[in-house]
Amino acid sequence: MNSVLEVENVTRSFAVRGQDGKPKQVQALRGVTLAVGANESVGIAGESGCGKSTLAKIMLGLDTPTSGEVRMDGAVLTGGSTRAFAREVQPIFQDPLGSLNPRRTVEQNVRLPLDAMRIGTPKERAARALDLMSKVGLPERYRHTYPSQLSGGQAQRVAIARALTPQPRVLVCDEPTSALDTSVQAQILNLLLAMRPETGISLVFITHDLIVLERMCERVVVMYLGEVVETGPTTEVLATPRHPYTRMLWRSSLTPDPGAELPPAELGNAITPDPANIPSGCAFRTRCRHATDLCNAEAPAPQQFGNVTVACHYAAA
Amino acid sequence: MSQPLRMSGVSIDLKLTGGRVAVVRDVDLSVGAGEIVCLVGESGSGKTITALAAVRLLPRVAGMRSRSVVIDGTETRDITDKAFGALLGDRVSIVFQNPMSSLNPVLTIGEQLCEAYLTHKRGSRAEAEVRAIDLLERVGVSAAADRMRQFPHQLSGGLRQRVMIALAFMCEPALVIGDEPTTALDVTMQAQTLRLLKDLARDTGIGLLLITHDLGVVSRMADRVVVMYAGRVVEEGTCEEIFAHPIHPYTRGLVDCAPAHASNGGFLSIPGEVPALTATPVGCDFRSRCPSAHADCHREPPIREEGARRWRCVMDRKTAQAAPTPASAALEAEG
Repeated sequence: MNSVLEVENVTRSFAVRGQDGKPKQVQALRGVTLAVGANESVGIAGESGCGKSTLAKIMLGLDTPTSGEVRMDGAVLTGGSTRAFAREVQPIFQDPLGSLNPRRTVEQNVRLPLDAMRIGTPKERAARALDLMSKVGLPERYRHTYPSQLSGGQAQRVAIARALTPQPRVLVCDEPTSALDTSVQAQILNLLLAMRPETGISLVFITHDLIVLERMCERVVVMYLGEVVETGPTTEVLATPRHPYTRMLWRSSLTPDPGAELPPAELGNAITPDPANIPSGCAFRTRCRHATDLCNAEAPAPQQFGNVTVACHYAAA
Repeated sequence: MSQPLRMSGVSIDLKLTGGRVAVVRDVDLSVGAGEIVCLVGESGSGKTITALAAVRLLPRVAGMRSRSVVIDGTETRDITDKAFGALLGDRVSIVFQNPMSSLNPVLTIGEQLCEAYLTHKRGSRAEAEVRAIDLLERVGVSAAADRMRQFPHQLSGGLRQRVMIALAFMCEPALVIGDEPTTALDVTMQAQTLRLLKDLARDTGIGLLLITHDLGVVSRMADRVVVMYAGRVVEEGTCEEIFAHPIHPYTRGLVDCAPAHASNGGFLSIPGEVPALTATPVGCDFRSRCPSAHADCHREPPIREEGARRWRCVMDRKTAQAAPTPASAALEAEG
């Protein structure tokens, strides 16, 4: 498959001050490689601190990797090419109201990317904005409404319309429905699903919710402490999760299932280590029930199982 | 053992610049000893403010009317704030969503855990410490004795929430209220924290009122479910009944759109949005989103009862369950 957006061996570290006041390095990404194909939907899953939002920022060109490359159609993203890059990759963020300009109307917010990139005449921009507003289910009467007058679901529709205006090829959605109510979440997810065949757009869907990811994405990337621990076709990975972390995440996802029990307490330790002080060997070993001396000593190399790649010493077992 | 909570006829309004807005209307809610009750609803449905009203933590702009609020056998409607404060600290604990804003940043974990115990004269300082360490260990805090000397900022979010849970159980209350206690946690931590809460409630016979919007959580935790919509209770029943045989169209829609496992296909949703509380329609609040709405729905719907099951709809059980759900109606409309 042709890749549209590629991330190769990307690392990103931040200098922070620890509790003792001494400077230290947080390694948010530790060598992440990932390719998004045309019209593909890739889900990135992991808990807070796994680096998924840092990865999103890097994919959007909003942050620069410490090392490694981001490529669009094979062309490397550099400081000078961010504007062209922005046209191809557009964001949808978690906080729908916070991501809109409160002093501009809905229509002005939606056409902002066109105005900023000077695409088309003002008349064409207005027409495109209205067209997209209707596509995302915002009637024309919302044209002159301000974001503060919108509900969370409506604001997220505005954000989606805005992201689509420059006809991007990739949409990077960072927890797009976590702030919404269940009944509204479904509306927004359906909207994202519905526009895929029409626009041929690729989705990068960042979430902690594997139940949503299961339906949204053909491929899943599970991240833990800045590394990809398991990746492959969603159905295969979730049918038989090979990495103990994927298993833990999957079994902790609570579907509405009365009578079903909560996952057992001995599923594993739920406490993520300090990202400024990542364990030696396998980073997951401090939470893993199966960890051995080998896991303490050596970081597991990714192994291939059909279409699935897993970084665990005992993935075959 | 008396019932930890029984409130009836509770109405709350907020004084806003545009006038008074009714946010909770005529709500009855009870929690039995050892029972886990989930109060479910979307944002703005009034679930949090109902629970806050039970413990008199309403904001200044709120006005409350009630027929009765009984906490652990004591009618509190007419007692003074001071007397209520003493009862509250002793008999009711609350776990909020954000542990950082509920813990005192300048006191150690140990001081905070012991303070509640000592204030309510449960025993000596030494006894308080023993109990605190025991509870911390039970909620899975490792090296509990060391943690007692630490400050909240030295703990991770998940650990802080565990400390909050230990704190809630410190004085052996009759009722614990959890307001989205695990919503801010990662899924693995959420699952474990819920298990701790459930085990503690079961072991101690404490009533647990859990406020949440997450039906996945509800299905694994609740004995009984109370569904709120636009400030009113629209349905109430046992967990099994609510999930397997929901009656009210809103409950049926909610159950439909809670995502279950499926590898493809769209998500079911309830079309439309919750009405603004400043503009609730006359009659049934849900009628603008209900596929079965008709002329009768412009009048106040009756409250129907069958044993412990209650719902607020013009339709009886049979008619309601035979009607299309909001989600299925939306699918048909899309073709």
